[in-house]
Amino acid sequence: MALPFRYNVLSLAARPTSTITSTLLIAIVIGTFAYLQAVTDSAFSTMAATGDPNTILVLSQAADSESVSRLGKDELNKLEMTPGVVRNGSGPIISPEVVAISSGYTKDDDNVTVNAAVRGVDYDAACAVRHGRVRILAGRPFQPGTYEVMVGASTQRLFRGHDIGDEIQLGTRGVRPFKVVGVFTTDGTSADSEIWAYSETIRDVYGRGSYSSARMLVPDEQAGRTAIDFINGPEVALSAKTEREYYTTLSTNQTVTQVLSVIMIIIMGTAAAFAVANTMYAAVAGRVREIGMLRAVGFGRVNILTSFVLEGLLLALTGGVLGCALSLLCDGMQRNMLPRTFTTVSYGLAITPKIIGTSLIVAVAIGLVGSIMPAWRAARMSVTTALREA
Amino acid sequence: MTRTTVLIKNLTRNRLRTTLTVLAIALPMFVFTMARTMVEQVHEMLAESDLKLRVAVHQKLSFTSPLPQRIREEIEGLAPEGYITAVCRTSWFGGRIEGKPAAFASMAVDRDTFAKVYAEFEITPAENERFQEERRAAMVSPELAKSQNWKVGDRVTLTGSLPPNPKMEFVIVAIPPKMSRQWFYFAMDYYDETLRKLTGSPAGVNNFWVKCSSPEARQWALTAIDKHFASSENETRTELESTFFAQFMKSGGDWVGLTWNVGRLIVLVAVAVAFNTMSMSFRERTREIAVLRTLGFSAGKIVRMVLSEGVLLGLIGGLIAVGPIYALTHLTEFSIPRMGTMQIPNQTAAIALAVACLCGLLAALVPALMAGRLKVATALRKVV
Repeated sequence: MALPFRYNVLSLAARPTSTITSTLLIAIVIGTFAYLQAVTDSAFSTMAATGDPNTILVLSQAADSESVSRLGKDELNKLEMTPGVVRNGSGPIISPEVVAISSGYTKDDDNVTVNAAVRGVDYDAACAVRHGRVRILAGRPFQPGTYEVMVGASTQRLFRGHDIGDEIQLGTRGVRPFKVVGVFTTDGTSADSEIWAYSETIRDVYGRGSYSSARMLVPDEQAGRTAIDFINGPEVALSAKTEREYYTTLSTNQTVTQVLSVIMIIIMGTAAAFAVANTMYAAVAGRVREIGMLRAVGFGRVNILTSFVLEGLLLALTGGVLGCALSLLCDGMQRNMLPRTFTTVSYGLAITPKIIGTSLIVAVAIGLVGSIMPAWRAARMSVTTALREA
Repeated sequence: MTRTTVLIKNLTRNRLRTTLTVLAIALPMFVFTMARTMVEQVHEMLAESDLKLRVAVHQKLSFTSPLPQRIREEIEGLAPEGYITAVCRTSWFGGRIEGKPAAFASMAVDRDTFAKVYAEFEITPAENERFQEERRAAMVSPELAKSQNWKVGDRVTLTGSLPPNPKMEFVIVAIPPKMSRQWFYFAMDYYDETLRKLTGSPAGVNNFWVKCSSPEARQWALTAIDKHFASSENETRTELESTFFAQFMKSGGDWVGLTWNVGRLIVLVAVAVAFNTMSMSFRERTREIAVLRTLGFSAGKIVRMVLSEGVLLGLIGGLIAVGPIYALTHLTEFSIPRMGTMQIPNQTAAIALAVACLCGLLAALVPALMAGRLKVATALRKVV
């Protein structure tokens, strides 16, 4: 017969100081772990979400990012022949875009500048190849041929002086003022950290004879393969990828935090396990006679072992749940990252079910490691010595 | 029996618990020490870079938009006599080895002024001479040379990551020991010539690094250069080297700051562990303390005793956390990937030890006060 679980709950409640301390300690450890995971995971998922598997991104050969790619008019013309892509009356739906860099001061810091990507587009084409994910939050889109821009929601949040009605400066040879006329969002993709304006105007002020990239739509993966093979082939000789593949490879840097969070959790988890062990050893030591009694009335060694392990698990899991609850406080917090393009991408932290799951598993592991030795000591006790103990 | 003996006896009474506690304090304190060292290193790097009296001049909006090379002569002509030691132009190349995807930090620099502007690399006259003579000369940092297995005299071919992605051959002429990180420098005129052949247009310049002769000269440079180029077609922004580098940290998500925040937060773990232990051992010793009180030990003495026990726990934990890594980084060349060589600064070690002691003190505070306020009669009657 197993010991009732209620016994463990009451035992924990009987030593409130030590129980509460251990729980809080585990909560801190698990909360931090969940936070670090969110930092890594959300950065990755922002980039992955930006990439659509049914959008083909075309760059010049040897270019590993849009910012260093150059596509001339001739090359764009060759893309007209691409098989498998979605067409309308006049040819394939294609959005040639030019990517440049601007910079500005952040809202909270007056001395340090941060880079933003400036994307020159034809508004309708750009929306079409993004499956209508572009939504205007305020104001209106820019007018072609004017010095107007619309800013992504993250750009507006991060930069000073990027609100509707403000003037921002863009360009290389002779910097020009552009008026902010709208704010848009693409539902949390990296485009939210960009500034959009009319493509020909951007090419003009940045002195670009060429475009950076072109996007086309495909109906499915199969058609995508065909299109990519054609573009990478000798006839066109450019470099094509699905947008998803492109953005996934762009998000470098994340390994640093991944390694960091693993090292942290090992170190802190061990410390937490030691604390659980201390608590459980004290619990065992304080209950020697009780254990002797339980053994005497017929509970086996396995029952005792299980019971103490369960008690440790309960302690750790309570701490784990509390830690996850704490980590929810940082859900939605904004962070920045710097992909290979040198332009900042803001992203919101998301505490996902996966993170909660991993964190709770770690909490269970802490409880298990911390309680197994004390539980073993309890189970090993001989009945007579235990009963004789004062 | 002295007080110290009592203290040690008390700590060794439950050796397992003491060991676990000390280790559980040491682990977070170790993270604290490492995080603090990283922060110190970054601050030091930024502070040091300002001592070098260099400013960066680049295109007004972004250093990624290149400026024409002739700006160098204009800056030189602008400065009052003796203000500027030298100007070195840099162009980002982002070279890649054939078949390896990762570009590493490679830049074209001015042959004639490189050694002067980057004086901290301590390039020897002989090395500098070879850099002048060989058209395809490159200087690489020891770290990079080691990772790629390069020696002086080796020929390497790299492909640039900016259009038109030129493929260029270099000869490594020097591996200056003081050159930091993963840097690869080669001559601007060679880059310019290659680009002119390929595209017909010259190499653009990302940054003009201006080495000033005095803090006053730097103050002049910070305002006068931008004023001169204002409303020309090449508007510039001049900033301190530290400001220039700070932007990468800021926009990159500030990993160092993140580590430091976590490092500080988990000091709480050390406090909690120590508190748990102190309150458990106090509870077990309630009767004993009551006996001590009846024997004539004053409440103050008891409080001090419990407090010193906590501090001692913290101190031992701190020593275990700081000691080995301090010795390791001071006795050997200890380096971690991406951060370079690392040495725990004395100040950081001292701070970590102090924080560890403070953790112990904080943890012992409540048990100590309880011990001091103990009602002797009730405590003696209490069955633990």
